[in-house]
Amino acid sequence: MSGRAIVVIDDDEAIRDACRQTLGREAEYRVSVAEDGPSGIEEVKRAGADLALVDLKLPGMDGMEVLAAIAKACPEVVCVVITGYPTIASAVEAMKRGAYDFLPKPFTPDELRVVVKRALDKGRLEAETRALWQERAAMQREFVNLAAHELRAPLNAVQQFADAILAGTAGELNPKQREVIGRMRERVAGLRGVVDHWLDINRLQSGRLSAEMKPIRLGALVEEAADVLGPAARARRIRVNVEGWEEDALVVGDRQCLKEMVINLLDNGIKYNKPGGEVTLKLSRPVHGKVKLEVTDTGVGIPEHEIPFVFEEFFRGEACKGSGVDGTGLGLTLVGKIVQLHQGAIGVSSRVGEGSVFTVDLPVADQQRRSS
Amino acid sequence: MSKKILIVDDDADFAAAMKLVLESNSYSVESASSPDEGLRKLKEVHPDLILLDIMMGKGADGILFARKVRGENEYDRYSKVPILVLTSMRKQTGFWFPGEAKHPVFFPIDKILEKPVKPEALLEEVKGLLGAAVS
Repeated sequence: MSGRAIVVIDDDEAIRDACRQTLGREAEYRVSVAEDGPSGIEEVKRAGADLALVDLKLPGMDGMEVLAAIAKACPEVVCVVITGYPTIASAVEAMKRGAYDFLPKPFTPDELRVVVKRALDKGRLEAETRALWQERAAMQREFVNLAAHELRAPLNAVQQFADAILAGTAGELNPKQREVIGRMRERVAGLRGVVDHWLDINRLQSGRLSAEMKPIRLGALVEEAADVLGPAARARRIRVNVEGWEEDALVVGDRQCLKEMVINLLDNGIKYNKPGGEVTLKLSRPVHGKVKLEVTDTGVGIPEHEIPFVFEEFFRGEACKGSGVDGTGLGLTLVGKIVQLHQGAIGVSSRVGEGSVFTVDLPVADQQRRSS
Repeated sequence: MSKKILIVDDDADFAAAMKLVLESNSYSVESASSPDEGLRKLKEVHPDLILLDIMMGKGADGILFARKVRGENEYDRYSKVPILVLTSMRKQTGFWFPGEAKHPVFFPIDKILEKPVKPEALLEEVKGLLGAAVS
């Protein structure tokens, strides 16, 4: 179907008719009407409306509620409220709540045409802006992908060469040479870590991992993560405790992603800890359909003013910068994206010098999925 | 006589770095920078083991190489040569084979490692695969 779809929601038949007749004369408009809120909302969805004209005084469902419902179900629909002069204050209120314009009753056909045209132009402009923005975001992702792939191969080669030299393949190294090449290797490995995290985040943003969603035992992943990082923890004399995962709930998710999430949280708990410290991974019994994973460390902690930024790309706290601990500034960004992808929530609480607690809530798989 | 290893990888530097490690451990190493060259060298070199990259050319051409070596009559006499895959495809594509990838048709290889690989780990895998092939 071509043309712009307009839905008029008004309990006054005279207004519905006037709108239908005036706007119906324009070949490019498709006009449909509804006399109350619920049927109006249905009609907006059915017609794929570009514009909704909504009377503020409707029987049953109030015009404000109709506006809210349309904004929720079809955010791209432009809304104009129809109102009598005595209720102009509520028209202003409606515009505060997202209506684009208002049309005071009584109105002439010309007034109606002008308001409708302006509102449709605005909708079109918004749609174009949205499309451009999406295109830009897609280009950015493509660029990141390309750049990251192009970076990855040479970094692999450099790291491999450094490892080969360190393995003594070009003759024995004296301690100074070993130190210099060792540091070179660590810096390259760090950069490679940034590129890898970047690729992961990019992949998450383009939604390419969501196809892998299936029921997963979080408890098993927590154990695996603890295994993977066992050597790193021992090297820093950090004790890793795994608690309470007998109540093993299933979550629906991407296995690799969720494992990456746990590993990143645990890795932070180990890296930013004090020697002899502890990290505790605690999985609790599901409450209100959510399973909670808490990762508690006894590390340096995060100052309050830094907490709002810890999930930002490339953010590193002051304490991290001075600590000599390698980090990409992307680990928690990745964790945040993974939690988001799984419709979960993540929170942080921390005390400087005492440690931090990262709390992840993930929805439990429902019974049907459990049995499949 | 030293064991012969054929590296098939389009990243010449990465291949050279592995060659350094392997040669200093008395293996004899040849490299090929494409699957086609790899198939040619296979017949000249008669390697005891193949180190294979996956992401070559426009896609995952390394998989096709492995399928040819293991599946086509022309390469029958090399079908028992162990293939050790070194790849960064997981990071590049998000695609990874869970556990041991040994599907006889889809992905006929013996072991898969992620790039870059520590020299000790590389040597250990090479030694293990060569040992298994002899027995």
